[in-house]
Amino acid sequence: MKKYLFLIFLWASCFRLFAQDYNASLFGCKSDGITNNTGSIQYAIDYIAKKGGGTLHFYVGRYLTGSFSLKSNVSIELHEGAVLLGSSNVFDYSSLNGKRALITAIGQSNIQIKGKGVIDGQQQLLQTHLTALRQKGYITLSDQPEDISLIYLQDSKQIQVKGIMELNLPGAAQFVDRCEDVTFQGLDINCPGGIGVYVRNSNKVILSNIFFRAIERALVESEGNQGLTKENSRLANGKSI
Amino acid sequence: MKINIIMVMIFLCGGMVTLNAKEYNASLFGIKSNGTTLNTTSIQRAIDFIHEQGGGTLRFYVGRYLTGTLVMKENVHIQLEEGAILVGSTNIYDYNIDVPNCALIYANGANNVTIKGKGVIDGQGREVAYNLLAQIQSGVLKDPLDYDRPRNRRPKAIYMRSCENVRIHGITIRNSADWVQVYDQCVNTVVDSITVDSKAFWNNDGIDIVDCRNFKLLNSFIDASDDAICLKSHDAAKICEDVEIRNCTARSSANGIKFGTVSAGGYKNIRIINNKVYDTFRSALTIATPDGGLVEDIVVDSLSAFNTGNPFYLRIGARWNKGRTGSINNILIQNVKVEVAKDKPDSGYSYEGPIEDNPRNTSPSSIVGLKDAPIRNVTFRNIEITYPGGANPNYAYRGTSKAELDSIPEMEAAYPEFSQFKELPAWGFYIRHAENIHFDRVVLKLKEKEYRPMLVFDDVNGYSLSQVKQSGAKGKKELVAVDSKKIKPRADSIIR
Repeated sequence: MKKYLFLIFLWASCFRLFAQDYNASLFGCKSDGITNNTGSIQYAIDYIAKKGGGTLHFYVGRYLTGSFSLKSNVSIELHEGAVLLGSSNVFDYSSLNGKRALITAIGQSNIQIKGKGVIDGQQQLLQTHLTALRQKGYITLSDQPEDISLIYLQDSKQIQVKGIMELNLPGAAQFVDRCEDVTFQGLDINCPGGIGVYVRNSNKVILSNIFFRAIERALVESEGNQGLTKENSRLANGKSI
Repeated sequence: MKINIIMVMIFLCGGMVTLNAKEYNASLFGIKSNGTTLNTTSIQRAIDFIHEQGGGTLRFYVGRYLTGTLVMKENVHIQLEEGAILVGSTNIYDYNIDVPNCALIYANGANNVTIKGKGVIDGQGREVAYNLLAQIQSGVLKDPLDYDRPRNRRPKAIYMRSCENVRIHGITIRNSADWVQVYDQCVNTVVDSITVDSKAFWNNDGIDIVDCRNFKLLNSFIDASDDAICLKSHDAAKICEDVEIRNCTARSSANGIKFGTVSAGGYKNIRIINNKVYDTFRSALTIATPDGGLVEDIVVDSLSAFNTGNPFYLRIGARWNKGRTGSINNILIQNVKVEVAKDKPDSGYSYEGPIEDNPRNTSPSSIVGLKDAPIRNVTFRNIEITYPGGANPNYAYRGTSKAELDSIPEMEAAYPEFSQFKELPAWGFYIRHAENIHFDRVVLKLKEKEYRPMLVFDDVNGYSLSQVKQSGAKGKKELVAVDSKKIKPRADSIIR
């Protein structure tokens, strides 16, 4: 009997460990569209990672943010109506290994970004900011901040991006480098002038049920990929990729 | 002697006039205009005093008057002179949070109450709401949190319940934490020439007219993040009756003019005349009765809507109806011009409407009843609507075969919103479960080509189309009618 109870306790604690849910507001994230939530979101992810993992939930509203890094076992759920809004300030995007991105995962595993919500790169506003900086001479053309990705994955595995809508990104919606077991599923990508998915040196990357509403290039496969699967993914004109 | 009596009469009349019109300056009660002194108790004392004296006007001159909840009393009039701002405290405990509808200005059963002048009421709603949220997160207040925001205790700017002869004139109301102003079961109310500017937090309805009789909303400008002009019915035994909404301009990240969502009793004899809607995320006009209420005898005349997400949404649902079924009957919509937005119409406003119900191309106007409760007797006369078109069938597709039409879910228990069905099979109007629907001089224009037909009627028992025209659809079938019957419009069914 005691053994039985112990097992239940163990099971319950495991469940707690892996399925802990946290609301964004708990960390002071504001859905007003004007508060820059970068610090709060990063703190939330670090906190959840320290507690053994879980999911950070964003409900309806617009959450402005700059770059933040994902940690192993911490997932993000964007519920319907939630918009993760990329900052229009280029300096809010940190440069990691020469690469700028809104959401980065480097050397992490077991992460999901999911839900019916939206990630909006605010390309036009970002471009306006860049043009103004260039005119003032603060940025040289050798920097290519236009190349900001929405999601940048490097040396990571077991990553899933599911269901969300991706809007107005400046560079690549997702950039995958030296990763393993990465799934993009059920995405709605609407970003004229951008790249949908950029993959290099990666194993087991699955693109499934993705609709590229407007895109310059849906998929760029660079060197060294193994086992890239494309299923049921279409361009706006109905053609499969 | 006779002269004496007349003199006495004149004196008495004069006395009465001065008694009714007694005026008090705020400073008389130690009320400070410095913006930092919390004036709740002194303003309340002033209101109580004036009430005890038989009524009068409390006058605020230029300055910022910080305050928590004020309870209005009978025969008290507040005059906010130009430059005077009644500023809501950001401390949630300065409000009457123990009552169900806490508010900055609260009245229950107080007759002959006025708030007028060119001054401002500023609820500081965003700060109040986030301070409330912090108190909930710290565990001091309990709240279930809906969508990660406080469900209860967000103060409204004005809440008036069971009051007669309320007058709101000229003022500007800003930044509420919840609905901006609610008039619930009030009789003989006039809201005239006010400005609402409230995009401070969720549920910022511009004005809620709830179960009121003889209500006039006139000459007002309302810019709100939730429904701008909203009629509701909370009590199944009550009804919104004899309401006139005239010469108003509405901007919303939800609906411009809306009946519902809560519609327990219903709406009768509502006149919506000469109004304008712009930059509005959802429908210019929504009439929704999901909770068993009746909707009867509605006239919408001279409405213009520009850059709106949808023109019309009429819907009977079965959500909280408790065995009763709602009805929509006798609706006249005439002299209307609408331009539907291609992109998000409320982009850039604070608290934008949520991107939802995707994948979906531009939604048509819709009239959707229930199988056993069709929407009855609706006339559209002299209507011009421009739609953006450009629907992509690869993105979202709904065909018009009987099987495909039947595959559209009824969704009677869902929250009623024009986009709820996701993709619909028409670009102009989609009508399902309706009776006696008349189109008279209706012009529908398309900017880019469409894969869908203009009109889809499914289970419409009696429709007529007279001088219905389209432009831009280029050879596409204009009408698909399934299980529907064409009739000659009876004069008595459409002319009023």
